[in-house]
Amino acid sequence: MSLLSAERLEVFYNRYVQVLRGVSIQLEPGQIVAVLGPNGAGKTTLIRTLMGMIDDQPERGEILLEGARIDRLDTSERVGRGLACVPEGREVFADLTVRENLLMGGWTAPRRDTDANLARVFEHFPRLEERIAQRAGTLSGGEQQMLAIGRALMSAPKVLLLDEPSLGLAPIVAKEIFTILAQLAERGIALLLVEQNAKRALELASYGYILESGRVVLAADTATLLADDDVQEFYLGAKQTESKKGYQRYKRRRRWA
Amino acid sequence: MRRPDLVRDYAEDLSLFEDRRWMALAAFGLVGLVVFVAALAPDYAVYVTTRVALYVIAAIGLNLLMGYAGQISLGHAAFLAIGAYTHTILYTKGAPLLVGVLVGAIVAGAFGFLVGIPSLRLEGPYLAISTLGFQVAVDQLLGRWEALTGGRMGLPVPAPEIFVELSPRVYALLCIAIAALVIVATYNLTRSRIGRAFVAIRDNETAAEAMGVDLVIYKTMAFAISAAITGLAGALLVHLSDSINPSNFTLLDSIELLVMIMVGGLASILGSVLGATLLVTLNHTLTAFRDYQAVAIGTILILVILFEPMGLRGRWLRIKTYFKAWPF
Repeated sequence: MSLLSAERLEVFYNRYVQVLRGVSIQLEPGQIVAVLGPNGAGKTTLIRTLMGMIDDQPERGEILLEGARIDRLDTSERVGRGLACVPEGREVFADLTVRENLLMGGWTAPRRDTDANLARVFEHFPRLEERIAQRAGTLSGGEQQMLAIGRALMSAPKVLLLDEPSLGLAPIVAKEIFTILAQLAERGIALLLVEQNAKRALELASYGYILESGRVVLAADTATLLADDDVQEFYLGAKQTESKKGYQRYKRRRRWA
Repeated sequence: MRRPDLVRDYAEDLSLFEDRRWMALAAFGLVGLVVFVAALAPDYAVYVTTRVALYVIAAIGLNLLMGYAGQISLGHAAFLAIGAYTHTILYTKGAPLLVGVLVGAIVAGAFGFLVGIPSLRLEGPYLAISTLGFQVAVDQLLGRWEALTGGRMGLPVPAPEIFVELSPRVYALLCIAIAALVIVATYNLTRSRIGRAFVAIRDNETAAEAMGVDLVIYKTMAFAISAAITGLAGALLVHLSDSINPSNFTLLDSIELLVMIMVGGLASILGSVLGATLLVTLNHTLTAFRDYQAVAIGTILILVILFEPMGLRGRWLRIKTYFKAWPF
């Protein structure tokens, strides 16, 4: 039994626009799973569906956390059961201080654990402790991302869903964030990582899903994905088809499409 | 005693007063005000001070909703009216003054909860229109339901009495005391878990939901608390004259409350106090301008907003920073 599993999720926007067409994923404790895919594939929709932030969805399919169905629960109840997310584009509370942001993250956690949870976040992100009284809106992008992750950790989650944590960050800052994500997985937290930076995501993760137009077109451990010709060409840009008659062909049909 | 840099654990977050120095200053100001009202002030100044205290309460109510929770309301005078009428009706029938006031606040809060329900789907200008509709509906209802409200003629208000009849001076002191309680209570509310939830909803609704904040509960709660506080002010306001009628609580009064918190400073208890004080005082002092009083008040408000976009509170912050950084 997986920690988190989604079975054949189908999600519609406004009843007609189908975004997910039978997506199934599995997540084990301490595992990092990457979800890759082009714009509009449904990656963010997948995270929002898992969190229960789209009203009355999924239309079909089920979501199980530790064997119990959660797909009809409110977001707040799901957070209470051990699901947390770091939304795309950080979305910190700009007018609250770093400390207050973190307290918001511990919304569903027992209040007597607040100090322990704060200490644990500061252990991973010493930078946040230095800026504890600063308003979150005045932090740098990297610090805001750290705050968003720290805030999600305040509820002591079992599963952390991350929507593009490296978006708009300098490579060196992104690297720092990814190092911390690896540490979190070592502590037994399961991470679902949605990323545009395919290379870095596949290096970190142990398993990966490739999502295109709302379907999982490829699911395999990362070693297999990294070796796959199509992944190399379309996501890593590492390999190109050999030239014929002396000129380069840039477009090639994907085998899975 | 500077906070929140020195907060070490969650228990300190829960302390009632976060900074002793400012508390001492506020207590000093309060004592000065009490002495002024009790002994020194002429009758008219006592009347104006009472009004200031009550509008401070009402403005705080609106500021909790608009400044902190970020939900717009153009119908807050309706909550003043609900508090006022509930209290007047109960008080006329023989309920004790403080009971009537309390029930007035609770009834206004219940209506606030109902008005808050549309806010779950509406925001910005659309929410403004739905609260505006509430304001107009209450105004019409009070004007037509003659059996209960006395229609456009209004209701007579008996003199305030707690065991003995209260003189205007004593009543002013009562109002100041209640205003002080409301200030302390709401200031602490904004520092608490609930207050953080309000600001979180205002700053980023999606992220607040993702943290596990139940939007249904906290949005309607913001409306209910805000309406209850405003209703409290409305209930106390009735004893400043010997009758009430619907024309005391029109859309213009809603907008005046809005102006108070904009001029004073959004999302600030101090701002509500400053804004209400300025506006009420202006309304009752610039009488020398006679017909041009409205023009004079308008000019002053435009100048304040022009030079201090954050409201009067912005000026205060700058003065505070200046002294903190002195001699630089």
